[in-house]
Amino acid sequence: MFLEQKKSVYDKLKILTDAAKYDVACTSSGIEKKGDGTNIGNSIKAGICHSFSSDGRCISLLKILLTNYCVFNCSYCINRVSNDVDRVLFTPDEICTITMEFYRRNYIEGLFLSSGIFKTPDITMELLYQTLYKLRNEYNFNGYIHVKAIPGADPVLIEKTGFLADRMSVNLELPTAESLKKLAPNKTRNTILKPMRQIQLRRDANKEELVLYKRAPKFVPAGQSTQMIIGASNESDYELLAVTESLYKKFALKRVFYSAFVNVNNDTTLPMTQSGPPLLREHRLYQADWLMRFYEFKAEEILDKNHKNFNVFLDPKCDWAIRNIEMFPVEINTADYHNLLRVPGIGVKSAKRIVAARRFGSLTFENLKKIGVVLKRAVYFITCSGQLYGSVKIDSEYILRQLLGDADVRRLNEPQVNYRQLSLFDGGIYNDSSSLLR
Amino acid sequence: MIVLVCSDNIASIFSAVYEAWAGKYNRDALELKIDGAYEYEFFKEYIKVETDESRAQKVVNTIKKQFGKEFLSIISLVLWSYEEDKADAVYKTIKYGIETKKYGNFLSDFRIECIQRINKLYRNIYNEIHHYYGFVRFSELDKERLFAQIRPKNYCLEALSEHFADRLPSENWIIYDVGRNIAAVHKMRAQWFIVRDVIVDNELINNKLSDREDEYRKLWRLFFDTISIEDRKNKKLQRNNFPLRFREFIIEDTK
Ligand code: SF4
Repeated sequence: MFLEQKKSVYDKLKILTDAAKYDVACTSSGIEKKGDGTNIGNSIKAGICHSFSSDGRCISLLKILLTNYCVFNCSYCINRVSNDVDRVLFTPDEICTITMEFYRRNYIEGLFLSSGIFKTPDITMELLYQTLYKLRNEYNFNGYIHVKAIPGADPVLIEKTGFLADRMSVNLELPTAESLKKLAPNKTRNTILKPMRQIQLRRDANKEELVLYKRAPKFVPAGQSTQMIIGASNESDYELLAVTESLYKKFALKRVFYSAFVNVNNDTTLPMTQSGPPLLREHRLYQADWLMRFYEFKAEEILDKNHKNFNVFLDPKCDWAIRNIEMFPVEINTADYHNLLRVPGIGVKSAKRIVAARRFGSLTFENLKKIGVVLKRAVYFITCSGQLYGSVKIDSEYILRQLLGDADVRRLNEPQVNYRQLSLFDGGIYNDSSSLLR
Repeated sequence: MIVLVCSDNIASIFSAVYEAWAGKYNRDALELKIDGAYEYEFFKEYIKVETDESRAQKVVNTIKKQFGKEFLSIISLVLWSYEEDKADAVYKTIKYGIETKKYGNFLSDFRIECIQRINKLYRNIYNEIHHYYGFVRFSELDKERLFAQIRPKNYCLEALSEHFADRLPSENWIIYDVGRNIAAVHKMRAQWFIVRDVIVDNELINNKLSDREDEYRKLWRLFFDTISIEDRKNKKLQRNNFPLRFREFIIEDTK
């Protein structure tokens, strides 16, 4: 037990970063917090990226585990108890010092602290709490903190920790109770949803406290998030979306993250990922997630029982528009905001700009370009003052051919086309940033 | 065609706007240019405008009264742009607003060319500032002083100083704009200020690095290398998100 204490901070950081990297959420968004004039730290609502690693993902937070000791045995996880790996444990002071020193050099926006289950869920949660307590009260850190709530931990500990964090998350891990049972035998749907519900209810109560008393301490002010592993179990995209939707609705989550499965343990009971993790699928899920959060789409509109999986060639918004071609064209100068949002090529920003700009007079296609509309896609779905663009036809076959080219349209009709055959996409540019879906 | 030539600062540009309005010239055949940032054209008449703080202030007051605070703050940011035509775009936009009797912020009127230009310049500088919020790297010198270098296209120094004064109030720090030889100096719990014509000797800086600086740089590089998922390697995405020009002074190895 004391052997690992001999490891240097350098070695610990290496092991506990490596063990944390599959957790996807690195965002520091959700809260605007001014500095207090004395202590170090503030936050910006949109979040700040401090670097980008060679996988192209944003580095915003110091994303580490408190420890990779774990008594659980989740089959997809590198830290599972049955694996023979180096195990270490950070002391709270070590975490605080690295966080502070990285923060003042502007390497990071804050801390994202997760952990394996060290002995018991309670002991682990207690250690997480102590670390945050020190960071806030001894090191006077006022920057962003995202911390995991450990399933099965005492609700009192979770509550105390939530008053020190900006964001908390409990990982859903897998979309269905059945997959969870198979792949994460020590976790149950219940031990995961319970703390999720607790955080939701406590946040609601806290909002009322803050109305009564402005300076009441804030509970998880940047909200709650979760993540699911994509491609380790057999759910369809439709099931994944339906789960996502109910998480937003029933648990008031701020974000649901998806993590393309990487078979780190080469576990033969799980899908192999030699041809790379299912990045296109993850990408499509993020696109659909954006549609639900910002574009007023329901899961049922994007996929349904007859279309259980995403179109590999088309983004979900284009796909929806072509399937619902009778709703187009949309007239730019009169359509309401909600209908503008439905047009492929028009994002939230450009829809708002259109509404603001047309008060001054009618807009032309040329104007739309300046507004930031992606005309390449939008022209098939809009009119400006009653005019279609050039010789464009509002016809789904025609639009498909324009958007994809003949070869892909032919492949589109082959029923067996799936993600695996499309590894050609995997060198592409996928991320979950906002610029991606307009 | 008359060209009013002003210096590259807000007071001078607004002095020129005032001058344009003074009734001496035909406002429709008038351009504003920044001194040193234009090619001389034979058939144009160039007139150098004297900077006059009180005239500039009058322009500010008029803008604030008629078009509102939001308009003014956007225009002010745009005047920190590195683009040479910013003064003219601002002039034409104010002219348009006055001639068409606008009240309140009309910068959402994307039909008008000079307003499109203002929006473009604004987005460009706004994005650069936001990028630098994340990409600034402080090094610790002796006596716990922090030092950072930047090379932004636009003049971002004051906006960045605002941000870091709020974030790091109890630190002594300097941010140095290498391309412009200007530095912002912040003393612990005091107001920051701008120093011009600064030359920084990098060798001197490197000799002054604190004893622990190297240790934290090493830890940061380690973290940076370890956090990336090998199976997802995507240098193209990294390059898109993190343009090379922002990497000149970073610590981590992105090659
Ligand atoms: S609980 Fe499961 S997922 Fe978490 S560290 Fe342990 S084995 Fe990994």
